[in-house]
Amino acid sequence: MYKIIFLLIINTIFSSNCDINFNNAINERAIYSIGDTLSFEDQNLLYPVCNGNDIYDDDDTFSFSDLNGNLSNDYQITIISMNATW
Amino acid sequence: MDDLLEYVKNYEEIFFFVSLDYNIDGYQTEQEYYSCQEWASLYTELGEFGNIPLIINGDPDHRMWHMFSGTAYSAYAFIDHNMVVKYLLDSPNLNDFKYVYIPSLINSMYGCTDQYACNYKSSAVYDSDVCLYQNDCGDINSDNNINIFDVILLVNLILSNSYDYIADMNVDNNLDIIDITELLMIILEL
Repeated sequence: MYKIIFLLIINTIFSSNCDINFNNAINERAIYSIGDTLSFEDQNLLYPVCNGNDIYDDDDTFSFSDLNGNLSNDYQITIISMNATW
Repeated sequence: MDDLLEYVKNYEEIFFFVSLDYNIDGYQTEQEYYSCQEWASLYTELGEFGNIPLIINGDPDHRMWHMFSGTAYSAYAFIDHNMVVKYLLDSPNLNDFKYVYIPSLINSMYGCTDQYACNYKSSAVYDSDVCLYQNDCGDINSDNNINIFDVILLVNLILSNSYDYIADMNVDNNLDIIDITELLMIILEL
C-alpha cells in the first residue's frame, strides 16, 4: 500500500515538472501569440528607422502606436518581416 | 521579398516593414552580414521590381523578433488595426500571402458598420454599403417574406457550396447550419 502511495506521489511530481518545462518552452518562443493584443508599453517602444520610406525618413523613430487605428483613425494591417543579415 | 512588396503596395490597407537584426558593428555574428543600407540595396540588386521597404533597426536587443518569433529568421507577423496579432509565420510562400492571409485580413476590415443593421460587422472599419435592415435579412428569394422557402434556398446554397450575403445570417462570410438555425428562429419568432 505504501509503495503505491509512494509511486503516486513520485508520478505526480514528475508530471508537474514536465508541464512546467513545456510551458517555459512556449514562453521562450515569443512574447506574443495569435490573438494577443500588443501591450501599451510595447506599442510605445521607439525603434530607430535605418532605411526610410515615403512616411519615415532615415534616423526617424517608429512605434507601433503610429499604426494603431484607434489612435490615428488610419486603419491598416501591419506586416512585419523579421530578418537577420546572414 | 521584392515580389511581396510589389504585391502589398497595391493595397493602401497594408503597412509593410522589415525589422533587421545583426546589422550594426559590434552586434553582428561571425557569419557574413550587411549594414542596413547594404541590405536595402539588395532589394534593387536582386529583386525584379526594385522595391525598397521601410527598415527598422532591430539591434541590439532584437526586441521585435523576441515579441513575435523567437525561433527563426525569416519570420513574419501580421497585426491588425486594433494591435491584435493575427498571424505568426515562419517563411511562408508568396501564394499564401496573396491568396490566404492578406485577403482574409482585408476582408475583415470591410462590411456594414451600422450597428443597427442585422449584418453589422464588428471588425469592419470601412463601410462596404451592404447594410441590411429588418426584412432584408434572410429574405433570400426577395418576396418580402421570410418563410420555409428561404430555408430551402439556404440549404441549396449550402449544398452547392455557394454564397449569398443575404443568407449569411451571422455575417461570418460562410453559409452553414448556424445560418439555418438563425433563419428558423426568425420564422418561428423565437
